[in-house]
Parts: sequence; structure tokens; C-alpha cells
Amino acid sequence: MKKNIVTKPNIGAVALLKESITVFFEHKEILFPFCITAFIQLLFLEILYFYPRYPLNIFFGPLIRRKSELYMHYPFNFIYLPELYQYVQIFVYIFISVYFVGVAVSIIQSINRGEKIQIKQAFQRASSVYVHLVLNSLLAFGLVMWLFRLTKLLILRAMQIRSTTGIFFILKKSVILGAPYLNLIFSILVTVLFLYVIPIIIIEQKKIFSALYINFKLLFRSLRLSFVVVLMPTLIYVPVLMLRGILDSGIFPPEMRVIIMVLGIMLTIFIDATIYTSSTIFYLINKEKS
Amino acid sequence: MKKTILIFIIILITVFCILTFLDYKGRYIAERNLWHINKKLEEIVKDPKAVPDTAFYKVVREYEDFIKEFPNSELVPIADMLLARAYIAKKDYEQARSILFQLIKKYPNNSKVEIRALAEIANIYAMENKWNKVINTYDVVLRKYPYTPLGMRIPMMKAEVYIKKNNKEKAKEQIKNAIKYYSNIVNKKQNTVVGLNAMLLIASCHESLGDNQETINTLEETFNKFADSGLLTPNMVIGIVRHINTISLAKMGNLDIAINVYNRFIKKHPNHPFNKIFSEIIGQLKHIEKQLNKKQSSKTKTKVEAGVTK
Repeated sequence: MKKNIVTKPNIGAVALLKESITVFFEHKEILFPFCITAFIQLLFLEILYFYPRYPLNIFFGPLIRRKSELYMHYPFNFIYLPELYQYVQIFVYIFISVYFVGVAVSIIQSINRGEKIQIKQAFQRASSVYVHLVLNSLLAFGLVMWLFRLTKLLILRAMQIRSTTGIFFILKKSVILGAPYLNLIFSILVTVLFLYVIPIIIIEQKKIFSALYINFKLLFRSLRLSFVVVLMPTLIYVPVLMLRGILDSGIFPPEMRVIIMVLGIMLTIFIDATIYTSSTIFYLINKEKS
Repeated sequence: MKKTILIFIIILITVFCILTFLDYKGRYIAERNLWHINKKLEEIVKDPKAVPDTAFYKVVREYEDFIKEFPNSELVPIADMLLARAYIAKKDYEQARSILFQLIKKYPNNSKVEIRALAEIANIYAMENKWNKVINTYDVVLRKYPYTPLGMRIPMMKAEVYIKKNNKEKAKEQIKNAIKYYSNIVNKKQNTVVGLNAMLLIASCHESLGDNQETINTLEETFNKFADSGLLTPNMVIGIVRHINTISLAKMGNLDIAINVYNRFIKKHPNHPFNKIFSEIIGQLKHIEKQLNKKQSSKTKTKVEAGVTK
């Protein structure tokens, strides 16, 4: 028998994460919107994977050739593919992914109320506040991009170090190799900062600014828990970053990049599902408490 | 939900199959197959003795299969060339050469293929120490394609052959002939890329002869002759500047030679866009010169002091 979301009022971060995983494995409907996001992302990746080949090269050829003719040929297309896919991911993150997170939040709310899950209703609920969801993701994205620029500046500064040995060389290497991890930390921080905005927009049907206000109030009351809730699932992504780092060594065939990208999509979906189920449950607990 | 996920998976698989099928023998697939075969060849070339014959012949068979599978691909000549290299790695020079001669016959109107094949044939002769045949092959390239990058380098390459044969006199004579040959080209092909390359090759010839001043003079002349031609790109200018600086500092021990070259250019062409690069370089060189002088004076001081103490 499926259980409803029953949690202690003073729940810890680890217990909350465990509860979330149990909930979305017992109520697989929560995963459904995330599966749609994964499908859309995989479909885009699949199309981009074939960009140097007929018939997609007719469309992509002129665009890619502006960057470099090399990227239209094997194996250089795999060097450009992650960059190309990143543009798609930005679009998916801002306009699509956030909508389906909203649908998932709506499903969790129904489960919490003990109501029968109606997927159609969840979609309608997310659609009615779509503009605010998109505004939220635009804000988060803008902030992440601004932080990523800091990493870029740091890398540029490190590149100026000419030492080939000693402490400065170690510093240079650490900055260059550590850049993806620094970006991951920035992503975690921004996710924490906007953690409860989507649940508030969906559950309370609030506009973006009032949702942000409530979000910050709740966030500062439970900063440590919120940070751990985002950090722990996101750590699963570290092996993907490590694998990406090894890719340039030439040990693996070029196609490995695509496999790692697929793995990345799957893990991101799992991470998002865990984070947003946890944050929604935590928000609901707090709402009931107050 | 399960049904929907199943539909998603079916859509992804169908799209994959359709897109694969639409281009299953296209250029991209040819590139991919050739790249993978070439990777195997690279492994063999790393240590040909360690690789068993069966592995070598497997790669050869894969090249042959590739040529059969994509007979009309633009990559077939490259595959042939790589096949020849596989035989070179195995020291079967006869077979490698025969593949390359067949390649030239197969593509009689493809100058790029012919030049590359001839260069490879000359390489094989060099590996066999058949120097006369190397020279003969070079002559064919020079006769047929005198103004291609390889054709232009042939007179210098011939000199290198004599150096390898330990015939220094003949090498010197060849370099002097090369200077004459390139000078003719400079006169014939004024304000062209070929003329510019010929000038740079003249400088290389002087450098090979150990005539540093003449090398710098030729490079300076290149700047002056091609200043307004639009052929000298900033990257090229930086390359030439580095060359001049290296010779004046490392070989002649006098940075003033380089500084004077740039000053003269600025005087001659007061509004030239390269002047900014030259002014910056002059500044840097003067700074280096100052530091070198400081070091030298402190060294002399220490020596004098050491002498006094003794």
C-alpha cells in the first residue's frame, strides 16, 4: 500500500532526502514530468548528434561552418557537440524543465493532501503560473551565468601564469582543473537560493516577487538544511565531471562524450527530482506547522 | 505512465534508426571508419616490431575494405596514402611505393594527391638511402609543381639531401643555386604569395650558409618589398620579427641590429599599420638590452673585486 507523505515536524536534511526518495519511488507519478524533460533533452541531443550527417547537415552546416569547418567532420564534431548542446540546455532549462518541475510539485501537493493524482490537473496548475516559473528560471540562470563569468576570469588570470613548476604552477593547474567543480558549487549555491520558489509559486499560486520573498524567509530559517538537501544529491554529478576531465586524454573513443552527456542528463533528472521533492515536502511541513 | 515512457523510448530509437539509415554510407561514416582504422595504424607505427604480423595485415585488410566500401569517397586517396604508410611502418618499402604509384595513376588530374604521393615516395627513397632517386623525385615535383609549397621548398630539400650524404661542398653549391632560383622567382612573381615565400626561403638559405647579416638583410628587404602588398599578415610579421630577434640576440649577440631594422622601417613607412608592433618590440628589446648590460656590468664588477682580493 502506498503511503502518504508523513514526516516529523523537525526533520533533518538526510531524513528528508530519504523520505523524498521513498516518496517518489512509491508514487512514481512524481517522476513522470521529469521523464518528459529527460525525453526532450535526449531527443535534442540525438538530433544534435547527427548534425554533421545528411540530411541534418543541410540545416546545421552553414551555422556550424561559421565557427569552423572542422566541426562538421569526425571526430571534431564531438568537441563542438557539448557546446552546441549547452545552448539547447539553456533553452530547455528556462522554458521547459522549470514547467515540468512545477507539474511534479503539483503532483506532490496532491499526494500530500491524500487526493487522487490527476496529471491533467497538475499540468493545468503549472500552466496557470508558467510566466512566473519562467521568470524564476531566468533569474536563476542570469545569476549562474554571472558567477560562471567569475570562473572564466579566474581561468584567464591563471592562464597568464607562466611558471612551469612551483606553487604558482600548482595554483594555475588547480584553477584550470578545478573550474568545472567551482561552477558546480556556484550552481549549488544558486539552486539553494531559489530552492522554494517553484513550490511556493505552484502551491500558493503566488507571483514571482512574493514567492521570492517567502522563499528567502524560509531559506534563512533553514539555511543549513536547504544547503545539504541540494549538496548531497548534486555530489552524484561529480563522477561525470571527473569523466569529462579524462576525456581529453584520448584514452576513450570520441563517442564517449555522448555517452557521458546521456549519463549527465539521467543524473541531472534524478538530482532535480530528489531536490525538488525534498524542497516541496519541506515547504509543506513548514506550511502545516505554521 | 509506463506506456508513455515506452512511447518515448520507441520515438528515440526510431529517430536514431531513421537518421542512421539516411546516411549510412555518407562522408561522415567514411570519416569515422577511416579514423578508427588509422588509430590502429598509429598503434602499429609506435612500435612496429612489437605488433604481430596478423594484427598488421588486419589493419591492411581494413584499409582495403574501406576502399572497397567507399569507392567514390574523397577519402579514398587518403586511405591509400595511409595504407602506404602502414607498409612503410612495416618496412615493406616496395609495396608502399607501388601503392603510391598506383595512386598517382588512379588520380591523374588531382595535383594535391600527386604532390603528396611524390613527397611520400621521396621519403621512402630517403629511408632506403637511395639519394639519387630522392633527387629525381624532387625534380619531378619541381618540374610539375614549382610554385606549390612543396615545390618551392624542393631546392632547399635537395641541399638537405647532400648534407645527409655528407657532401658539404655540394650542399653549399645547392644552397647557392637555390638562392639564385628563388631570386628569379621573386623577380618574376612580384607582389604575390609565391614571391613572398621565395623571399623567406632566400633568408632560410642564407641562414643555412651561416650568413646571419645577409639573413637579416633579406628579412628586412621582405618587410620593405611587401609592406604595402597586403600579403604580410600580423602573424607573419610577428614570425619574421621573432626570427630577426633570435638571430641578432642568440647568433650575433647584438640587439641593436634588430632595433635598427625596425627603426629603418618606421622611418621609411611613417604611417604603416605595422609600426605599432615594431614600436612595441623596440621598447621590449631596449628593456632586454638594458637588463643584459646591467648583468654584464655586475659580472665584470665581481670579477674585478675577486681579482683585487686575490
